[in-house]
Amino acid sequence: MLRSLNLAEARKGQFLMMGSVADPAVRLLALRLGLGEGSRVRCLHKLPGGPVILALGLQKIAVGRRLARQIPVRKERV
Amino acid sequence: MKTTKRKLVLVGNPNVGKSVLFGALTGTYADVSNFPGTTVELATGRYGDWQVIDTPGVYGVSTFNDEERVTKVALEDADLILNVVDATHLERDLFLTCQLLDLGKPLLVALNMMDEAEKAGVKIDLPGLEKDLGVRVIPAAFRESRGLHLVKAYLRQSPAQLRAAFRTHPGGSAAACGGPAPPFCPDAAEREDCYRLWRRSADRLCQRHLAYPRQSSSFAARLDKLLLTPLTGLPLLLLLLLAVFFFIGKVLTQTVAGFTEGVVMGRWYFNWITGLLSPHLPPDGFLHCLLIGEYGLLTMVPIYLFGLLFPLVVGFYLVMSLMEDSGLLPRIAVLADRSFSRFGLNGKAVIPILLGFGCVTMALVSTRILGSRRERQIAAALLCLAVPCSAQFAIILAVAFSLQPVYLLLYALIILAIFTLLGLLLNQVLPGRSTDLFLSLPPLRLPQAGNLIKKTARKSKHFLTDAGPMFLLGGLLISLLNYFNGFPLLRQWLAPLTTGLLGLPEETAALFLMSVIKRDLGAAGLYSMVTGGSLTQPQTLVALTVMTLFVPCLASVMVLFKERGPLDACLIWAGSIIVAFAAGALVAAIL
Repeated sequence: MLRSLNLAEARKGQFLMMGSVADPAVRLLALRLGLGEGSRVRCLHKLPGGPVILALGLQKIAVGRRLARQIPVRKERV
Repeated sequence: MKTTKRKLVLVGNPNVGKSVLFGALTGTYADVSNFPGTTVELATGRYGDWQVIDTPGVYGVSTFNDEERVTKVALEDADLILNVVDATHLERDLFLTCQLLDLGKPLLVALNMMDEAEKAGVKIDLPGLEKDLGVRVIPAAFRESRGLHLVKAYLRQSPAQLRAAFRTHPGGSAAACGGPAPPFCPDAAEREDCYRLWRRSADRLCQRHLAYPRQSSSFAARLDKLLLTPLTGLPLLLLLLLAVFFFIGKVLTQTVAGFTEGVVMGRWYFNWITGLLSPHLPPDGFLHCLLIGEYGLLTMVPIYLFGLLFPLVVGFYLVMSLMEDSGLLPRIAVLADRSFSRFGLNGKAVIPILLGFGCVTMALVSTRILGSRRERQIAAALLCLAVPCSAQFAIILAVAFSLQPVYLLLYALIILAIFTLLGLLLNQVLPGRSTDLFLSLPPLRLPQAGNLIKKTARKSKHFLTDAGPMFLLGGLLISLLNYFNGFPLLRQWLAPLTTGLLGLPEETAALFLMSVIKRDLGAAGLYSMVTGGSLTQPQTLVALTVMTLFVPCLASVMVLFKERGPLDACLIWAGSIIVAFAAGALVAAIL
């Protein structure tokens, strides 16, 4: 089953489905980089207390920890 | 021969290889950089009857930043748009392609980095993509000149042929998924809807025509993994910084600059110029003092500038270009994010701070890439106070390497402590909220030697044209002061500060004056005082501390006023003087 969590709670290696980002400026930038609501990403790395690195295709996107807490995601079954 | 050239505008996301294509087409040089936002200028060149314009890397065309505004203006009178797309980052790059389709101008898409995409096992259905986009898509790897002949052949078509080719595939981005085409540059109210539409179009194109392999395990991927894991990344980063410090502080300053300053300029050139001019200039005359005196325009100025500083600056820019072009810089931003967040900055601020070690003036301009006014204020204050510029930094390193290890350690701790305290303090007192890190990381790539050399040469030339006049001005002022016996007066005035507060010899007054004009001029003066043996070890530490924290040079103060306004600028300027002398006094009192 799918469970709701935020990006900061995701574990390394997990496949995730992006929820909606609250901050409009971040939402627009996310859309440009390829992250929209429903985009499927993988949590590549988590730096302790630091950014979460997402993989979207071959692209890597670094998301600051505070911002990651505000991005809802759902765990995906592979 | 036609007089009006057709305009070809190259557009693409950052680091997709636009500038490599630009160079291949026009033969002239454009800055290729691995960090978003370093090519803010438009580069223009010629190819056949085309005027080719290279725009800065953007993820979309709007008015979010300078790069986008510049690109938007360039697109307005384009006859043909060449959208360079990174084949390994299609889901990101096709967003811009969809937006460009809605501009309704002839468009050509070049799918660059096909070699990397193939190596990574990415499968792209080119005919399908071409059909859905409705424009010609050329597979390419411009670094290997692959696909270049196809682009050139396309450019040989007449204007009528180009228009005809485009008219056969109308419909804009929405044609790929149905529905009306959004306006190219929507206003704020419509923006998000349009963005969603372009996103959907790009996603659909990727779903239809793109397949990824399950795992990539190239050397770059493994190295990236090591870099982005703190346990291995931080030691690697530390090792890298140590190597850089050693390269600049030991190899360049002591070996290379020792030869260029000590032998080439200091002996050969000095003997030649004084031998040439001194028979014609009376030894006590004004011209003798001005031209070939101790601070002469033909002696001190060229010896410091070409003998001492130039080799150091070249070395520094080579290192910076290497870090930019390899994609290391954004990784450092990721590693630094957590620490920087305590100063109210995010990891992206590593860019202006590291650039500051090159030139604080340029770094102050680059604070624009930061997301909020608050971050720009904090970064500017840190840059002006606690970050020495490349020439000054190299000399500081050289002087610091002549210190006993305990003093070297103390020096590093003092500067680091002040940097940290200022950051923590500003984060507490400044109102508002800083933005968070949100960054697309370019792939790790082996930089191209030719590009590194060109880039280093361009920036080093910039240093000479920038620093040259300031050095001449400094030489002039100090020579005047020297000739009219102003030094004893200046020493007397500043004696309470230099000898009283800091416990330094009176002669150091001249260093502070030089530093106000140009920081590295003062640092070069300090270097000759230290190598001349006129300062003891504790005195060197005090002088180093004050010189590092002391006011930014005239050029950076001017930029500071422009970028931050008079209030911030004056606060930072006055603050740096107070902090510099207070820290120096404290060190002097303790030792």
